[in-house]
Amino acid sequence: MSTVLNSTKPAEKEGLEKWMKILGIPVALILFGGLITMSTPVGMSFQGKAAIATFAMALVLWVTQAIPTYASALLVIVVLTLSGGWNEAAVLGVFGYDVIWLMIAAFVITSGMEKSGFARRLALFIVSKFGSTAKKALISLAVVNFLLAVVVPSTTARAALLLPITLMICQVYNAVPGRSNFGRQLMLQEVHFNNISTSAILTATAPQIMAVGYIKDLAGADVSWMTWFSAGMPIAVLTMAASYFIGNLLYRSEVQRPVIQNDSGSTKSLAEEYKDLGPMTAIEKKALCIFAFTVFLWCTDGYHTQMFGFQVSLVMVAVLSALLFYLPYVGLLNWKETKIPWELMIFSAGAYAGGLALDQSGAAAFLLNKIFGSFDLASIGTFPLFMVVMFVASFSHMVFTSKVVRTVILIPAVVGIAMQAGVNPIALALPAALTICDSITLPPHCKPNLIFYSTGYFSVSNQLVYGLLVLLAKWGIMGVAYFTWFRVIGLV
Amino acid sequence: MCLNKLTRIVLLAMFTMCFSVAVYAAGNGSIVKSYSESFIPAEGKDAVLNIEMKVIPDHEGNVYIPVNVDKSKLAAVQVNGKAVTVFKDSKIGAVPYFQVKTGASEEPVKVTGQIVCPNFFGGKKSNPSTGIPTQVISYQYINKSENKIGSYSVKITLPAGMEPLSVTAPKSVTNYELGMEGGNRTFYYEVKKGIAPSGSAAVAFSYGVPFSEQTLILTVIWLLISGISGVVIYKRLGGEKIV
Repeated sequence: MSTVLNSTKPAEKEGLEKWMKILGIPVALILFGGLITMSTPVGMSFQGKAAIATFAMALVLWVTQAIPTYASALLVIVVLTLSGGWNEAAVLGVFGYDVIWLMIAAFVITSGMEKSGFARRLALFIVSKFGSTAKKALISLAVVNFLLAVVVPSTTARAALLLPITLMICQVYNAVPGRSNFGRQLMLQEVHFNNISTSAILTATAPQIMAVGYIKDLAGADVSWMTWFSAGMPIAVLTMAASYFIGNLLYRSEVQRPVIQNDSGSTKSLAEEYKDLGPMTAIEKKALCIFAFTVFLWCTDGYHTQMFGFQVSLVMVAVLSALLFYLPYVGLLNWKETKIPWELMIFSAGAYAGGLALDQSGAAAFLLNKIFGSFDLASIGTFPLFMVVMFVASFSHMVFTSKVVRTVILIPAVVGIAMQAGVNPIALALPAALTICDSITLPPHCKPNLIFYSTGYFSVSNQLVYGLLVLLAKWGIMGVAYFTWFRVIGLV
Repeated sequence: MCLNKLTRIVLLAMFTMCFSVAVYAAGNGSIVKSYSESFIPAEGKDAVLNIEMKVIPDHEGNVYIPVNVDKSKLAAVQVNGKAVTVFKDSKIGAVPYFQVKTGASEEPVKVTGQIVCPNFFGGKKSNPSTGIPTQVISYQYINKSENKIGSYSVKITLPAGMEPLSVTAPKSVTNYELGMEGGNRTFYYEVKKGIAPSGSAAVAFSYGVPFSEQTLILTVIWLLISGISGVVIYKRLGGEKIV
């Protein structure tokens, strides 16, 4: 995990990046000033307006990198409370949210796995078996995400689980955070694969189950696990393929194969390196046991009460695992050996607060309703209606942090539009529900994004550009599916 | 059959409660089908509360309008559109009501009324440790009758120039609407599924004239933005190493 904290002397910026740095602060401030001083739109509270102004300002600063991201996060915290975007207790309370604790615990686990040498052994094993080239490594991680989505019913738990492995794979490939395209692509694809694979499995995240409930209550249509799977799986597979190809175009990997050097500086093969590790040491076995115990608890999330008589949340599983790594006799780690990127924790807290303020203030709901209400959607024809609804459904995640809140507002609105237009509600609502996990464009949009952002391998602008392109590709795939696959399965 | 001591106490308590409900019901036998309230600004910080209820009076033709704002006074009341002059303050147990003689008995009537609520807009101030102190409206309607109210809504129209700053109740943003009527901002909350006996509907939000409407503060904001932007551009264009 040392790669995360490696400090390298930054080079002077050039071209577009230089101009973004020059103009970032003025543009952010003018945007903030313009939004906060405009008359509050009818239907929105002043708090909502302040939350939008603050988030817009922060977004410009994150993308342009005009000030360090941790400083922009602190700015969000100050401006939100001073402008009335959210109250102080709520904003500061975000640092105590489960996602922050989960990230801290995940880095403790990662540090323990790294110190023991088990993470390296596991990474070398995976890379030598399935990822002997950079492309194979990326594809095998896509498959792992799909398989995990079936057994671990939480996007966040899956991200925390894969964090140490992805970090060690980066280390095997000598990927330096912020510089390596391989590291950038791998971490961003983890964000994409984590979210997109979820959309294929109904039970992989709770808001999807909630959406099915809405479709049943409001449209009277039953959506079974298999119906969801048959509609969602091809879309997810094709979107992940699109993500892979777009990633290769945007961030072509600088390494094709892992380069492993021995002490004298000469290169050696993966197999040799793996063989040189020798048999597992006692400390590695300890790390393996703790990691296996953690994975077991995450996989059996729905059965804790039957097994133990009490429930352990996924964040408490992570904290328990971190505790085990520190305990005498059982563990193997001390505080000084723990590598937690605190500046990224601060960024996560500030960014998450900015996103949550949009939800809590009603600003996100206002914007979504405004978009749906601004067009006479019922009269534009079935296919254009489908495409507009899919676009809004997918990209509405940019103003929502909570998938639950988005589902609560989005699905009833889509069912209502379908009924108004005389379209079978399920033909619009189910494809719209397949976009619930499209939260891939910015770090604060969901917890897995924050977890992988905290590795330092990619910037906000990297994620934004890549995420937007992938979602546009998914939108196109949905459009094609409307005339093909969705007709085959009788959805439209 | 042998009853233990605890069972006997529970049965006795249930028996006693049955009688207390019967007495209460005898006092307020009107059944409210729907109830809506609308606060509009009046002189100073006062408000006028316009109420409209569809109600079946009790067997004596009485309708009971709950008193939910301290020191409020019923100024006028109409039954099915006709002014009624027979009304008085009354109490059932400790619960205050405006008692209105409708002249109808146990048949549905529409009752409208105007209630003066002194200092409704002069309530407590929020004093956040960071941020701007604001006025707060915290209003709760409690169904103190023994019957379920079919539907309930409340609308609060704010004084001119003021707007809702932040809403704390109801919690979900999908449960309330912010609007505008006659140039004044409004807050609307509806409980379509009704309110059970002892149930309540609460609204709480801060309001005021936002700082963005004040010329001095606007000037300061734009001066700061211009100043900081100018300095940053000057420094970064002027040869500062950009990393």
